[in-house]
Amino acid sequence: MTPVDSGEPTPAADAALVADVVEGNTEAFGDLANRYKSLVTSFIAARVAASEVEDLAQDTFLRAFRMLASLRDPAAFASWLLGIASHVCVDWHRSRRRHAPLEDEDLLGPGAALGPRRSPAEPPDAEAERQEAARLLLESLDRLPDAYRATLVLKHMEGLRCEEIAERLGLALGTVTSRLARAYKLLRDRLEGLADTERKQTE
Amino acid sequence: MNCERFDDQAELYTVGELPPELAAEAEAHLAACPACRQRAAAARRRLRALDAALAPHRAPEGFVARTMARIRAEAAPLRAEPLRRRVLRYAAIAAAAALLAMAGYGLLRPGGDSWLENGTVAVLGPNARPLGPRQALKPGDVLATPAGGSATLALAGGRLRVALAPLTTVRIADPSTGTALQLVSGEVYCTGSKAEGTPSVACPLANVAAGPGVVSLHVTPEKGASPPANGAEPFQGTVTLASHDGTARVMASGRGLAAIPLEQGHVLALSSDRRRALLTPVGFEQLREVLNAERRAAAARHRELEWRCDTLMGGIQWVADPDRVQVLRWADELQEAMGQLRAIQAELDHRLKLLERSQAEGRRVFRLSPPRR
Repeated sequence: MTPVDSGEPTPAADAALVADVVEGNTEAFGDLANRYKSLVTSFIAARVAASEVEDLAQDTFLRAFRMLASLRDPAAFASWLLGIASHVCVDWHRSRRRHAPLEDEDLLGPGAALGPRRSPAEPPDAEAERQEAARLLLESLDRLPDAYRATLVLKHMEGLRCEEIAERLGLALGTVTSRLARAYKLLRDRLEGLADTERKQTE
Repeated sequence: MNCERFDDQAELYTVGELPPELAAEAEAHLAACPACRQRAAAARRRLRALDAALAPHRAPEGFVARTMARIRAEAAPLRAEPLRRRVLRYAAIAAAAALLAMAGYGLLRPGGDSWLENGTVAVLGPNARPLGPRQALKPGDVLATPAGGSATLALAGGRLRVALAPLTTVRIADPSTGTALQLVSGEVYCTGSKAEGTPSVACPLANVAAGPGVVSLHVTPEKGASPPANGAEPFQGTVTLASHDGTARVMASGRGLAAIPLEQGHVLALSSDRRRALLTPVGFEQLREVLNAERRAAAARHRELEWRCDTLMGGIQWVADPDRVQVLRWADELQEAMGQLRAIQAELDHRLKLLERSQAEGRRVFRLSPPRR
C-alpha cells in the first residue's frame, strides 16, 4: 500500500482516507476535513448568513461522515462532499422558509400569515439587484449535477487550471475541459430559465 | 468556427481553457463577428459574477478540531471507545440493567408519535438524516447528543418528555412492542408529561422497563445529590411513571430513596426486593389530622403507662422483698415504653412542624402504604 500524503488532495489519497475511516479509523476523517475545510467553508459562505457558515460547514462534514459508507466512488470524494454541502444549504434555506410564516402567526395572530409577506416592491437599487443575481446564480449552481458543480467550484473558488482540476478529480484533461464547457452552458441555461420564471411571476 | 459553436464555448475561451487550435479559431471568428464580441462580453460578465459568488473563504481557526469533536462524539457510542466509557461511567450502572423502554398501553400508539422537541441530536446509523425541531422520530432511529448539547424528545404523542444529557445515545424502539425508547449510553431525564398536566420525576433515568399501563424508568441519583445518610450504596432503582390514569410508581432497588425528588410525582409506588409501597398524595389538612390523632393517641397511652407505673411504684413498699425485683423490672419496662412514646410524640411534633413548613413552601406530601395487589 502506498503511503498516504495527507497534504495533497488527490483522488487516490482521498480514497485511501475514506477506506481508512470506513474501516473504523475516525481520526482519518480529520485529514479529509483538513483538506476540504476551505472549499466547503467557501462554498457555504456564498450561500448562507455569515453566522451560520461554521455550523453548516460542520454539519456538512458530519453528514459526510455518517454517509461515508454509502459513497460508491471514494475517489470522487470532493464532488460528493460539495453535493452534501449544497444539500445542507438548501435544507437550511428550506427550514428557514418553513419557520418564517409560523413566527408571523405566533406574533400577530392566525390571520397575519395570510397577508403580504414582504413590504411590496422596495425600490430596486443596484446592490439589491446584484445580490438577487448572485442568489439566482448560486441556486442554479446548486441544481447542477455534482460533477459539474465540483468542476465549477474548483475553477472559480480555488482558481485551479483545468490540468490541476484533472489531477484533483483524477480525470483526463479533455474530460475536465468538456465538463467545464458543459457546466457553463448548463449554468447559463438554468439561470436564464430561472430569470424567465421570476419575470413571469412578477408580471 | 460559427456563432453557435462560439457561444457554446464563450466562457471556456474567456477563461483561457480552450485548447490552442480552438482558441485560435475563436479569435479569428471574434475578429469578424461583432455579435460574438457581444457574446464574449456577456460571458465575461457571467464569469465575474461567478467569481464574486464563489469568492474563497477561509475556514475559521479550530474548525477541524470542533468538527472532529462532533464526529468523535457520534462515532464513539457505536464503537464503545474507552474514553467514552470513562465519560459515561456514571451511567454504566444503569446500562448493566435491562434496556430502557417506555411502555404502555394508553400511552404509546403503534405507528410512533414521537418527535424531537428541541435541541440537537444526530441521527446515527441506517436512518441517518438531519433532524430539526418538531420532526418525527422513527422506530430504529439512533439519536446522539453532542458533547456540548442536549435535546428534549416528546414521546407517546407528546405526553412524556425526556431530556437527553450531552453525550447520550438512545434508540427509538418500535412502539408496537410497547417500548418507546432504549438507552444505549449516557443519561436521560424525564422532564414531564405535558398532557397529564403533572410534572413527572425530574431525576436521571437510566433504564425503562415495559409494563402494562405504566411507563417505567430506571433511576440514578441526580449528580450532586447527597448520598443516603445511613451509608447505604448510592440509590439505583426504577421509577415507573405517569400512565394514562395519571398515576406513577417508583420501584426502588437499594435504599437511599431520599435521592428521588418524590414531591414532583403524583402517585408513586416504591418497591424493591424487600419492600413495596404505594405513595399517595395527601392533603395537608388530612395529614395534619392524621398526625394530630396519632399524637393524641400516643399522649393518652403515655398517660396510661405513667399511671400504671406510678401505681406500681406507689405500692412497692407492700411487696415482699423477693418479688420487688419483679416489680422493679415491670416498672423498667413501663419506663422504656414511656420513653418510646415520648420519642414517638417528639417525632410527630417534628413531622407536624415539617408539615407546616412544607405547606408554607407549597410542597406536596405523600403517604407511604402497602400497595394494592
